[in-house]
Amino acid sequence: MSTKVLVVDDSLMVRQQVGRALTAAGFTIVEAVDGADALEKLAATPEAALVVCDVNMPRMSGIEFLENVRRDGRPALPVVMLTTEGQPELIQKAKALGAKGWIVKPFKPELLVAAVKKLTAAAA
Amino acid sequence: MSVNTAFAEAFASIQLHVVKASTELFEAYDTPLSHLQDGASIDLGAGDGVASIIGYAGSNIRGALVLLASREFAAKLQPGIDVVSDAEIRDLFGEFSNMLLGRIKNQLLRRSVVLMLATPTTLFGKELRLPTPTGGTSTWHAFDSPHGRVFVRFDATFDPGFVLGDEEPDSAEDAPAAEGDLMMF
Repeated sequence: MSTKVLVVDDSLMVRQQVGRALTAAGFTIVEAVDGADALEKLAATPEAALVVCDVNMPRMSGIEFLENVRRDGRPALPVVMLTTEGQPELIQKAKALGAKGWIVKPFKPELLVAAVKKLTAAAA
Repeated sequence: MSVNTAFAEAFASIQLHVVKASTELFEAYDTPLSHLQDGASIDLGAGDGVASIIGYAGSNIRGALVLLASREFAAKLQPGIDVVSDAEIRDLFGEFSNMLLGRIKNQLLRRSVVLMLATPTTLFGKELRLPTPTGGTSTWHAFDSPHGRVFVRFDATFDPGFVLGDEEPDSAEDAPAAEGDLMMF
């Protein structure tokens, strides 16, 4: 069975781009449209091995999602932030919450795939 | 130097970032742009157009960015994926305006200007013709591309105290992350 990755972004375009890259690399994708939806999808898909998550989203941001995931007892779940933000303070905040990576959009698919492979292999 | 002159100079300098960010963003999506000289007509001609508008605010600066193109242009921005429905076009073009303003934001961060972005709003229309601004701190940029013409407008209102700093080098310790960068922790 292929490894599941939760892709969280309010943009359909970004979810499609990420999904296409990761599906081609053999991963199975679960999509969520914001942080709140991602928490529900994660509860329904506890076997998800990694999360690729936007920062600025309606209802619940990526940083708030990260805070909730850590509070809910998933301290080791790898989360990679994928965002237009490059602000050092935000990056440090995500890092402090245990994010494993930060990618500034637009992303290079091969870099994303390499990062996801590395992190899911390390977590296995 | 008067306050108005300083603002005019800051606005002119920011426009260089707008043009740079626009060409770099679309290039990353296989759509090379060539910047047309000021004064190009903001007229999409007949047919369906799409515009995405996104506001921003920062310390002593606020305004909006408008991205305008034909529907055909927008539909070609995601190679390999058919973008047909209104919802798909709205999402795609809104995300492009978000990424464009995000790119400008990251460039201005290197000049000590911190912007907060709003959420994009996208609209459709026929024969869209938006007026040329008459104020001094609003400018349209027109670009040609293989998929047709695209327009970018950047509006800014400055308040006393606004300062556009010198550009930090990429090597600066606290420099913002650049587009396409991957950082692993």
